[in-house]
Amino acid sequence: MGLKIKVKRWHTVAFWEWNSIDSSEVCGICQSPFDACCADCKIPGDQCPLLWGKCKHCFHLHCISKWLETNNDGICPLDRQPFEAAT
Amino acid sequence: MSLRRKRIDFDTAFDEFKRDLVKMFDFSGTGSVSGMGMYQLVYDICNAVPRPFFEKLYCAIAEFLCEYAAGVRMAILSHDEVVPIYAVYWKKYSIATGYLNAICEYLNGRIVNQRRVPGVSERRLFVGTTNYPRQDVQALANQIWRDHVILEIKHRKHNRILYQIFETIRQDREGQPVNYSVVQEAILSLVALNSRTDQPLELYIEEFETPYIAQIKAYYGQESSIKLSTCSISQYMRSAIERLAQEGIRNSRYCHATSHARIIQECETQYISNHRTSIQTEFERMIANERTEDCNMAYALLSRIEDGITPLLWSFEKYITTVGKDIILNLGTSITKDPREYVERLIDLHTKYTQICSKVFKNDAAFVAAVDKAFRTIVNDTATNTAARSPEVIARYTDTMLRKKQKTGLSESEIEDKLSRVVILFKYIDDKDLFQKFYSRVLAKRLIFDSSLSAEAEASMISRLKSACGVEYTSKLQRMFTDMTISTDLNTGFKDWLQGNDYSNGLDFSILVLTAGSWPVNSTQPLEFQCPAELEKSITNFTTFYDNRHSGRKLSWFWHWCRADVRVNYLDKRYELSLSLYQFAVLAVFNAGDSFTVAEIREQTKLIEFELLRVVKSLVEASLLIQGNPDSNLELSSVLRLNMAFSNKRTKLKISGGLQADTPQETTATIKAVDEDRRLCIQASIVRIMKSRRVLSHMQLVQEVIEQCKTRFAPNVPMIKKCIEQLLDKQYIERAENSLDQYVYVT
Repeated sequence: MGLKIKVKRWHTVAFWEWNSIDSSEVCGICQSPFDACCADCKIPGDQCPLLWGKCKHCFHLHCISKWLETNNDGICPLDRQPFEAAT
Repeated sequence: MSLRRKRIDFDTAFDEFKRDLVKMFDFSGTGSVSGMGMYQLVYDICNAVPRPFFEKLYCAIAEFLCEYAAGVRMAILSHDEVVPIYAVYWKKYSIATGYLNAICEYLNGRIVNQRRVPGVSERRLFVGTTNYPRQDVQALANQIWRDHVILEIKHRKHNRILYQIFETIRQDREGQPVNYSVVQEAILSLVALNSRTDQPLELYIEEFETPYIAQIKAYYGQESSIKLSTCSISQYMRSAIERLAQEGIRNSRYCHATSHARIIQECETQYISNHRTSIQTEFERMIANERTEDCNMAYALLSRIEDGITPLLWSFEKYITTVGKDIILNLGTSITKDPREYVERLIDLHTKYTQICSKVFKNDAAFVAAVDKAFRTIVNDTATNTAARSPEVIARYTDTMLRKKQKTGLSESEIEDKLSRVVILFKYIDDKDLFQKFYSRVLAKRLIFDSSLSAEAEASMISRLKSACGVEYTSKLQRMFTDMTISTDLNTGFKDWLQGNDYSNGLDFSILVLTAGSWPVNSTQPLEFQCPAELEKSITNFTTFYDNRHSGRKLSWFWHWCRADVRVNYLDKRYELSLSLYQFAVLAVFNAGDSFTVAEIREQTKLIEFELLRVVKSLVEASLLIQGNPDSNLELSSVLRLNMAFSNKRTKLKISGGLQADTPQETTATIKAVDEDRRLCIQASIVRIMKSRRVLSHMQLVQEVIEQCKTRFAPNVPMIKKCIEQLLDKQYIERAENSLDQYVYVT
């Protein structure tokens, strides 16, 4: 006798998070969680990636780019030291 | 006409002039009077050589007018009813003096613009030796009429004209027919008589308006007191409204426009202000007994006086609040089971009083605001009934409406209507953030379990919330919908990928991949669970596919939200069951045998005991499994068998109990999460405010924070204080050096 119960269809639910950071933390600039997108994007994910500085502070790429472009002397908004992207 | 100066004998010339004057004033033979001739005569007298006679002419005209006025006075007084005869004479006099003034144009010029006499430094104020001031003939005529008719009768004949005027108006007030046009002419003559002086209304006010208002005060003071003590408030108000309307008409019948407001104000004082408390006190009963006509009258009357409606607003608000609280109280704990009564009865109450506002109170903004205030109290009241936590109850109400296959039996348009009305209550919620949390929880479940009534209904509810609270409020809700759309694409992509790689295994697999931060989950840590072996392949495939598609992401599987549709082969009939994944995992254990203990099932599924017992219980309740000893409690040692005799009329079944409703713990967790959000929101707002204001006192800062946050929730002061302290600790702000009470932004 074969299987008594056979699956026809199944429906699953999963959550994605960024691999290397606690997703519930918020971006220091836009205050949105890292697993949400920056203020200018609609959909989180590859279109709105994260960027780490050498200072270990992480921001939405869009947020930190905008911050650095707008006359902030290239400093990290959290430690006020020159911001360099970690490679 | 001739401008040549002539030698004139004054007496002869004036006699000629006077003959025509008499005809003019008697209106006898006016046809034979030549205006031009008289005009020439005036010019000639004024320019007579060797000595001009203009002052003499002026005095002679004055003398004529005095005589004439005295004659008129006698004629008037010879009648019993003096007012109509006065009106006739006045009309004639005003016409005749009008002509006279035109004829005397040249004289007026000489009198009024009298040249400075050499050697006399002061301009003489009076004409000749008389005490007539330098004014034109019309003004002179007015003055003479005033002195010789009006004031003479006033002082010597008991003010007979005005007395009869007041008497006539009193008769009118008592409903007797009167000829009011002559009365009005007589009254308005008082205005005309002073029109050429620097106090044009003085005579009218002194002789008519002031005594008239005094009479109104006495009349209505007495009448209102009698009415109030002999009639019901309802009748009293009706007669007040009637009287005020009548006096409005009477105003335009008799009085000069400048008096209207003052007269009506006196009526209002007597009929409304002096008895306001009687109406205001009764108003509570009018509202409670829904005597709308009375309410309307009370409003119409009291809104005419300053601060009159303030006590009505208070009663109105208090009454609605009481009714609302009664509703809440009587619903008791039923609110927890079914939110519909709570929501619908409050909406009905709101509709009722909004209609009353528009029908009875002319949509007066103050009454609309009173309804709002009452509902803000009702909706945010948890003291009366602890089950009436509106943010949660209203969110659950929307859920019962937006879920498909509900038992309400309502059409889609009815549901739309109910949802559009629920926003009315939503707007009164203070803790809108709490509503948002609960709404997102029920929305998440609808989306994840595909139990939404329709995408359109969901979208229109979101847009209602958006228009009430702004884009930011719904953006997180919106992101859930975005995830649903992305997941649809993802499923298509995955199917193509499976086929392309020839991985298809005949198993229909679908998935929702959700963004952790957009969904109301307390933790993304998966619960311990051993996925049944036959499904593992799908998981591995999908993980591979997903890793290829997105880098830097990890997936957490939410097993307790997964479902499986299965075919059951061991019974007489073939059944198709819709199960939760946990239920399936438990049933799948029975592929290997017919009887297992709970502990054995746990070994295979790795489910935690609490969860496992719940799942097993749901299967026992559905008669799919049979408990070895049905009377004992279900525990790890309990033995379970497949029910080989299972039978059901339908072949497609959904086994319930797969998912638990919100537990009290979850509710508490939700509230705690909201508290945390509030802290962040307050801190952000403090930093924003301090950044722009630099220095601010504690009180001002607290005030501004409340102002900024109130669209989302009502922040309490202790929490704000705590947040300020936290920011002081973090050195975002510091206390001012010279003042304990002030904060300074740290740059």
